Amino acid sequence: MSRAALVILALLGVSSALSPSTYLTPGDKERLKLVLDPAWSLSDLAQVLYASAGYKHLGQEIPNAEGVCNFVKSSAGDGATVETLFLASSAGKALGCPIAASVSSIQAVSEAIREGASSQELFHAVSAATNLGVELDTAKVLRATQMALKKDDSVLSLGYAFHVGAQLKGEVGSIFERIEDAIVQADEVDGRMLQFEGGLSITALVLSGAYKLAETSNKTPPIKPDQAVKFANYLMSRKSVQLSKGVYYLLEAVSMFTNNKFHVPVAITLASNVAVSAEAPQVQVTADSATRVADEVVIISKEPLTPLSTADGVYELDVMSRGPDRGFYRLVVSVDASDSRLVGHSAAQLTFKVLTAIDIQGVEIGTADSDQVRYPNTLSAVLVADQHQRVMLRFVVRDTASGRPTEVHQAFVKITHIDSKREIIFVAETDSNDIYKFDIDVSNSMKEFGGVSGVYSIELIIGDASISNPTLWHIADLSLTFPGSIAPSSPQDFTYKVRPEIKHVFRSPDPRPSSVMSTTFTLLCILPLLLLVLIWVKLGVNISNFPITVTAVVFHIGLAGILALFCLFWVQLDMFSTLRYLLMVGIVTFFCGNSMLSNIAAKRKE
Amino acid sequence: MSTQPSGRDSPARMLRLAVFVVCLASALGFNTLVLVDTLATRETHSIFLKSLQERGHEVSVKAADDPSLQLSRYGEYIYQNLVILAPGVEEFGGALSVETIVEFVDGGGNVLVAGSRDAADLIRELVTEVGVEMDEEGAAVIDHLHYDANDDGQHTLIAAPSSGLIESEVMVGPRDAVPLLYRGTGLITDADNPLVLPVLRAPSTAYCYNPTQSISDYPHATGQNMLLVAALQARNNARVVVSGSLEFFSDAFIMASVQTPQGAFYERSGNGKVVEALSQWVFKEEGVLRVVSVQHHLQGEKEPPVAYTIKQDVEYKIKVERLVDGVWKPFMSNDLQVEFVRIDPFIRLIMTPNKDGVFSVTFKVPDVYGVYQFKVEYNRVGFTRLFSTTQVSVRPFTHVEYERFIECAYPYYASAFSMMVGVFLFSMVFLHHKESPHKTKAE
Repeated sequence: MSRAALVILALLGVSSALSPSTYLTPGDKERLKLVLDPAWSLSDLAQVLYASAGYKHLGQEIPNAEGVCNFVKSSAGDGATVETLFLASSAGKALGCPIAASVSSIQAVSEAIREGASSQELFHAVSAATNLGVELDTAKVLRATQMALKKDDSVLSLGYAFHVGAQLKGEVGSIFERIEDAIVQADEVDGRMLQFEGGLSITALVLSGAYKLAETSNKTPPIKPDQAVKFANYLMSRKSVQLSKGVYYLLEAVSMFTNNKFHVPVAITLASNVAVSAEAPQVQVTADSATRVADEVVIISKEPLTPLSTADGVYELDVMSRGPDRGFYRLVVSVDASDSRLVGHSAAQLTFKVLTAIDIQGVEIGTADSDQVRYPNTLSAVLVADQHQRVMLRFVVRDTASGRPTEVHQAFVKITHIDSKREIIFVAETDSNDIYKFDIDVSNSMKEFGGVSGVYSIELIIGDASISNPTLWHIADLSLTFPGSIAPSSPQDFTYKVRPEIKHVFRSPDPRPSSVMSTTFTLLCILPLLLLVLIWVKLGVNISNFPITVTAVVFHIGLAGILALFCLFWVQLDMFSTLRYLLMVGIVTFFCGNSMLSNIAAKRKE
Repeated sequence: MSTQPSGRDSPARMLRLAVFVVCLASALGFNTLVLVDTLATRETHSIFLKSLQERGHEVSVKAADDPSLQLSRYGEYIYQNLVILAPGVEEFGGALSVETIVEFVDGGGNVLVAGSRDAADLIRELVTEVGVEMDEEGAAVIDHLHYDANDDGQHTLIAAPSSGLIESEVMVGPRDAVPLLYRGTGLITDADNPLVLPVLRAPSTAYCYNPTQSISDYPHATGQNMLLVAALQARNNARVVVSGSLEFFSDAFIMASVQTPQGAFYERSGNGKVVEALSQWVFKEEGVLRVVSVQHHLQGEKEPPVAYTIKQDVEYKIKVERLVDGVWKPFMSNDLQVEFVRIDPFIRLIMTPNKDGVFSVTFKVPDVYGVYQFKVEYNRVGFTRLFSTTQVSVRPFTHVEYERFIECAYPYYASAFSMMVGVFLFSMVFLHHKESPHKTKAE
């Protein structure tokens, strides 16, 4: 039942404020089903309720229905809370496996209906009671509900109260009166949607509650038709919801909208693609008037639409037979319906556009003299230009349907440097005869090109929303030479790159004289000492006067030590340790030398 | 606690453990403020917001004109991340303003801003502060060659080819051939500003203009010079992403299929993956590097010397880690460089990594003494800027460290030593020579 209802909602369509702009397409339903699917792992009772009720609305078979049923039954055992009972019994109802009411659960439910309970608790209790088939005392419930509303009169609380009221038998006017209170709290979005703060679940809850309550009490709900349309618009705008709870509420409210006694919003949409072209000339739609948006030319007025025999609720109108110019058209559609429940069906505005193909003709490109090129060929020769020349391009864009030259929204010339892929885009402009012209003065456009010489490719981009063959056409290659430009001399930028490695160059040591030279001079330097020793030997030098005294021996050892100390100083000692050693050796040597010399002097005197 | 019987202790311990885990989670998580025009955005962008929550963000969604808005309390930022999905906001509520948001970025906060065709001046002003300019009001990105089949007729629902995405897996995830859906305004940036990154470039055939007006002036943004999504990584590593399209992040676009005029059909648009990767990047869950330790010493030693001497062989090691799924892991790369700098770099070398994320290199200290720095500066698209300097001094040879004997100086050494030997011998002979007897006789 629900499935059929949903398709009826998809009657026709629109983008105006007064008519729902879309409906649940089969693709949408498939996606909603996917959101519900995880529930079948049977881990969470609430998810199972959302999924089973959602599947029911979507007209889907529930996989493993018996297993799900057992799961639901087992969770509603003894000691279950009222909320669990509500979830289980509602899920059981949706699944078609009624939960048997046990004594303890009946007791729990009746105890929950007391004064002081919140309206949500009451809703759970009352729904559970209805599902379990427990008789309710209408007066008592009403009293409790009034108490709850006195305590908390938020939209959410009201929404629950409506659902409570809808399930009661007898006079529920006191709750029905509150519908208006809730509806006035709705916020308008963009002038075409109405919602309650809190989003989809609250909006859906209140709406379904209000309509159900209105049905129970057999009175038209205080919701104006255009409000109903706006609520429906909001619900449809939320069809991409990703939570199973949201899906549940959405489907609940949508099926309520398609299946109530008061308001059934009608969606008027284009059944075919939004664009109409010669290949698919039939707009399958209902029509009142069709006006071209650009110049307000009316091409159709008061035209009846023919119902299509192959599909219900689809009507068609042949627009192309009237030879419309390309462009956007506004179509005003009305539906005369005998069913007074339908809302949002008069003066619905639709936009469609008429596409035509275009042809690029009379293309001339060149510097001094022009060459002809035919679409879609590329000029075989490379154009050459330097700073004294201009590059010119002329072409005509012709509408193939009317054969007249036409203007398009996008007529750009894209010039791309082949090596660096840098692109520069110019706009081609029309003259009075609708001939597109584009020229660049090479010397004046150095800035655009950055002064980079090289081969550029010239491409023409022709595009418009109302042509069926937008084009990117490579016309020719152009070799540009700018004066004084060698290579792009921009400073190297290493911001996000590896920098070049740097190796330190060590200073090379100074050149030194050859070892032959130094050896020769070393020998020359030692030579005097050798000569001295040789001559002394020849002269018969002796040290026979050496006095055999301690002081003399010590003096000469000391002297040798001082000289050795100098050698050590050269090789390894530092100055201060040298001085320390020198002091020690020196003092000893000094006194020994002194005594030795005085001895020698005394000896000489003798 | 310990005096209690263990049986009663364990639930308390469990509780403490649970509290600890919760604290830990909130300590690791980020506080993210999401500003919206209407709370309906919470539902139209639920996939995006849910993915933030799943990644550990504490998401608070508020209306952009909520009078209680504030980013900082007592001088400390309450939020690390700010998402502005409110193109229509005329004035921010509470303590929020363009200036405070810029201060927030200066303080290291991350911002994601989405605009639209009709974005308010406030949003335009905000994005100008980060080096991005939105095209004028009413202008939409149009591409007659790359639009989606669900377009409303004006070719403003762009199916941008994924080739326009920046080449950085860190920022936009692995490359994929699926086009991205985009409807909104074009962004213009200064190509010479290296901090602004072109996350998604428009196709060559796109332009930004009011679709209902014919082109009389040159469009502000055309072709690949126009960006659809731009990003800024400031010098303090704060990240900002600007998109000209609010719907780019929406559930509708993420779940939509794409059909191009050329006939290619894709089951799902590429938006989902890119939005996920980009939001991970902008909130610094991806592409974050840190220096763990720096070591330097002479080759073959362990400890650094007080000062290096010129021409010594020195070894430098740096350990770098990268944040992967909230855990610091060793970073691997073949292009990390170290510089040895004394005002100018004297040496710049690429370091070799090992599997622990330790990069090392050995080089000879230059023969110029002075105060040097080991400097590692790693700046790559998508990664935070890695910067580390260690100062060391380099001194010349001490006097004992020069060559002791030079061959060409042998004559000098020889003369000095021969002089010393001579003095010793001469003093012996002079003092103790005994005249031969015949000479004495001759006298």
